[in-house]
Amino acid sequence: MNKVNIRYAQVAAFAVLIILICAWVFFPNRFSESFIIGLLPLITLGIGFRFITNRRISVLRNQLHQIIGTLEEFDMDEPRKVVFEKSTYPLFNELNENILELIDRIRSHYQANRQFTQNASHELQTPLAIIKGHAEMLLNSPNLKEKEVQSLGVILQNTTRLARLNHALILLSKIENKRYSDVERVDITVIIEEMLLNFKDLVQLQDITIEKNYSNPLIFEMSITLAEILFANLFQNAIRHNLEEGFIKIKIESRTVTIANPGEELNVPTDSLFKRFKRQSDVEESLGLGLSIVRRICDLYEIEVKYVHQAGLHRLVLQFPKDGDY
Amino acid sequence: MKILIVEDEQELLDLMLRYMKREGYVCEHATVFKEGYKKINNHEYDCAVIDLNLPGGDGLKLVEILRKEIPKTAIIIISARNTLDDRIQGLNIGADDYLTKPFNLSELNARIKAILRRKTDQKSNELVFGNIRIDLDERSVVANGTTLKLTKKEFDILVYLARNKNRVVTKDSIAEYLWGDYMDDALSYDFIYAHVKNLRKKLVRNDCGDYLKTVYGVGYKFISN
Repeated sequence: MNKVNIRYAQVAAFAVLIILICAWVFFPNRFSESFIIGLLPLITLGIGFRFITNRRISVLRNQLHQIIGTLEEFDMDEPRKVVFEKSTYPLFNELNENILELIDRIRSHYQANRQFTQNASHELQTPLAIIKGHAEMLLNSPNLKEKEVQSLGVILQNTTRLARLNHALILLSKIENKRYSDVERVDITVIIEEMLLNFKDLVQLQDITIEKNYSNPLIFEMSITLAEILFANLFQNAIRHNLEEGFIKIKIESRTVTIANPGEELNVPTDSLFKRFKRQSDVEESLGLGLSIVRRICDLYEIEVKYVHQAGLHRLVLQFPKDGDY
Repeated sequence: MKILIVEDEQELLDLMLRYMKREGYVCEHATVFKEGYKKINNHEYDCAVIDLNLPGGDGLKLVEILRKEIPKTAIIIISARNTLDDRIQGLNIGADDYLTKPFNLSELNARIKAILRRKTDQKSNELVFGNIRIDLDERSVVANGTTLKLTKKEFDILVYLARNKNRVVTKDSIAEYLWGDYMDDALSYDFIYAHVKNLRKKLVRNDCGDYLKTVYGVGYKFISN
């Protein structure tokens, strides 16, 4: 019940009381007299009690809403401390204290977890370098048998894979920790062109045609490194999941970027595509981290990213939010 | 040519020393900051390979000092740190190149050679193997007197293989050398395969067929005696 209702109830109760008192004053001989007199305190009490209860409930609700509001604003990635307003009810204060404790605990676990991923990945670099180096040295020792060379090749190839996976994990944790400071107004078309240039060789090798359709420039404030990584990943996918002599269509319209290419429908459910290590099983060597990096970058800048397979086309749509600055 | 390698991880240090000695360089090493500092102050090197995370100090400091003292020394940073900031900082302070761990020894070797060529006044900027001459300034290749028409990537692959002559160079390391981080393994293998095939065809056409050997499933080897 809100404040207005309480006010109405108050006014109504008051009016009834006045009427009853008037009736009793002006028509004292009526038969209802005794009845009214008897009932009057009871009615007053009832209305008063109801009024007080309603008021209490509404205060309770308000305070509960406040707590919920505070919790809704809570963001695991924001270091800001959660502060609850002091409640007039001790029980609420106790609840708040418990929530705060819980948040602290979860937060420290979360931080430790992140820190671990980052440290572990870093510490892996040197042992990987040593394995790689030894395998490389062995590969060049004299009188190796064909089979031994093959084994060394496999070791080297998988060490590289591990190293890349490791790089990707470090990258992910860096994005999560918001460690990219090179934020500037990025011309998305320029980034796209740069990345296309990077992949020129591969595009030519597979006879893929690039079709560009930019209706307008698209400027967005973000880290230039992350912008490059974002589109590098998207184009890598567009090339990898393409057909021989296929095409890649890049369209910019308003604040939407669409990248479309022909290809078989994936056997992975669309919504799990952006999760770590999900991948199309028949494409070898893909690390399954590309799209989750894409998702992370998009989340960071509130870019909406959607994937659909439609009429034989893989279509990735990026919806950039309005830039607040201009 | 004299090289100083500063790296605290003994295993990795040994590997680099072995590889570089085989290449004919005179090598010295240091495993902690202080030792590196001393060597830099007391000797002159053509090239220094410096790790950033050193016991007792930051490798960047060594780079800075070295650059100030002997400007012509070629400096390569090797580091597990891979952010753009680290890279830019390292190059700004005066390093000539920045290699992220884990790297291929063949790549380190190729990069050292490339920087040394730029830095030292070598009269000839040619790599000559039998009847193949690779002109690094002109970026041209002459085989048996005929100038070959090579694409940019074909030329780069040939130079990379030639710089690591008589060694197996893996596909991975070629991919990393050509494209850095952006490239996808499966895709780049196809690409390298196609390019080496073309390269060999062009060499064979000019009777230079025996230079490029495929090590099946692993990589390639440039053979020269």
